[in-house]
Amino acid sequence: MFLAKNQLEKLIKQEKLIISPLLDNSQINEMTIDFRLGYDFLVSIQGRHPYLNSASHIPTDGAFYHFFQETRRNFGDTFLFHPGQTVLGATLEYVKLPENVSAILSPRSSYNRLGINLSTVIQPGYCGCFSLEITNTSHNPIKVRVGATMFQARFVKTKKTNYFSKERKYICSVKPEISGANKDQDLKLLELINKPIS
Amino acid sequence: MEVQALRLHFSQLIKAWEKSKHNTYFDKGKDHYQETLKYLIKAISDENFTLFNSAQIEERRRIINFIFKSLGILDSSTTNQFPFEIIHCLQHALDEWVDPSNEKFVIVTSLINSYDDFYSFDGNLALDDVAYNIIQKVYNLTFEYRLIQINLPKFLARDYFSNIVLYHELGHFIDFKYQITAPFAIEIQDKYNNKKYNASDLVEFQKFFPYEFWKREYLDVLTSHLREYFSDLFAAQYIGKYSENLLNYVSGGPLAAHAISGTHPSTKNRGDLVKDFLKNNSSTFINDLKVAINLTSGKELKVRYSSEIKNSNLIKLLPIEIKTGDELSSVFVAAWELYDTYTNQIEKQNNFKYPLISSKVYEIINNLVEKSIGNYIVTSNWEKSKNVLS
Repeated sequence: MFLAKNQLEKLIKQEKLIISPLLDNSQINEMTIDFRLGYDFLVSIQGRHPYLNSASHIPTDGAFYHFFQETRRNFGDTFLFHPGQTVLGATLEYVKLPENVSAILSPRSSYNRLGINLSTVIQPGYCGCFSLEITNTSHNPIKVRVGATMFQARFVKTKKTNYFSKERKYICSVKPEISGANKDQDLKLLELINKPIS
Repeated sequence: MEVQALRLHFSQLIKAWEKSKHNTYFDKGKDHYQETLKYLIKAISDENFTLFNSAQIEERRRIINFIFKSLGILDSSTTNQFPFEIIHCLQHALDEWVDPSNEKFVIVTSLINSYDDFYSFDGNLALDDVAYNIIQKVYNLTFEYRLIQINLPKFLARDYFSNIVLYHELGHFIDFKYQITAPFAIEIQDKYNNKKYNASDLVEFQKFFPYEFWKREYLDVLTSHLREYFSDLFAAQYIGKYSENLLNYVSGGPLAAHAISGTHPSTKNRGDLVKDFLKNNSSTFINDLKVAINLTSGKELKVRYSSEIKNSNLIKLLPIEIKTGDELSSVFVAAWELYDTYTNQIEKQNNFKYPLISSKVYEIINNLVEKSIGNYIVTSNWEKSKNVLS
């Protein structure tokens, strides 16, 4: 069940749900909270390496960071999303979720209609700026304003969990971080299945 | 030949300018500076170089070098790479010492590809009047803003533990601007030679200047050492003892603590002086320096960070809420206090089922410091703009 406005406001008042900064209370809607585009970006670029290799735990074809360029903007400045380009960003807001609430982040409908796409699920107890993995799926570049409320999160009550019961790759992220897909432990096992030791 | 060399020099500048002229910056001061450079370059390009005599060619050579130097640092101060969080904190400290309504200085960073050089200060574009005077005389152009160049390693541009050393570098600027330590060195020699110090004063001065500091041939050494001491105390106003801790490590730790050079006092003495200042211990040296500072700058040397800012939010994995600009540097103190005495407080508070490796502890605290400052900047800009609209 998604949390309603009064439940979200109560959690914020009790400091169980932390959103910092919450620049305007009007960001809290009937069943969502609006989130703003932050000012740090990792923009996908074409480099000298042939492809992004997420199939190996030791990528020999170039690490992921070779495919992304770091850039910053002023708060209130503009940013251009090119068609088909993957851009990693972060919400302006730093969030700490209660241990029994998860969040589902999506573009606000107004930006979805332009071609901005992303879909992220955030685990209960998460703390940090929400990671944004954005793609412009339209055929045209889209100029946006840094700090605009481009995203919305729905909040779902879950069973109480401990976010730190297992090792986390991303803790207290405040800017976009390169994918940690190569660090998934399963990869070693899968590689072994593919090439068993004789 | 001379004219042809000038043409070559100016052509090289035009090539560099073609790229730099499109730079975008985080603040209006740099935009304004770049706009003035644009007029200056246009004015030079409109001139007929063949009509110049040697003195005029030399003036142009100096001006072109000045523009090159400006571009060099402006290029690494663009929005794309600018560590605006730390610079915002330094600018706040600068504004406390230099009234921005009277003189406009903008802090610019030069990101260097070296860790060994660590941090340094270059005051040429801020305090060297020669180039500005020539530009004024020849082209009737005035730079409303001047640039304070602080060099920092590219690798550490967004590191808030080492970046605190920049307060020390800012101290050098303040010293040069107000000419604080150079006359103070002469005053110390005069006072000694006129037997104005009592026995306990002499013990103190001999400790901090363990050579024949009263002799004229040691005046340069004394002045250099005073410059470092002043900048240490300047930094301590904002970040307490923590820049000294780091400097001790960088300069070789306890093994090198007593080493002294012609330019730098021993790190042991520098640390001791900072301790005396922070603990308000009786010290003729510090008291006399305070008087010298007040006479030259009209400002007061005092502890400026707030002990009200605690690290409890950091332990709870939350940014610190900064309410006023005066609290900005206190975040560094709170972060260092936590890091310096770290005993798994974060794991305990947040019910971690695994120990954090030290690089993760560093990353978490560093990120939270960045976000604390970033939130303050965003929130205050938001409120200012809201007030304009309403």
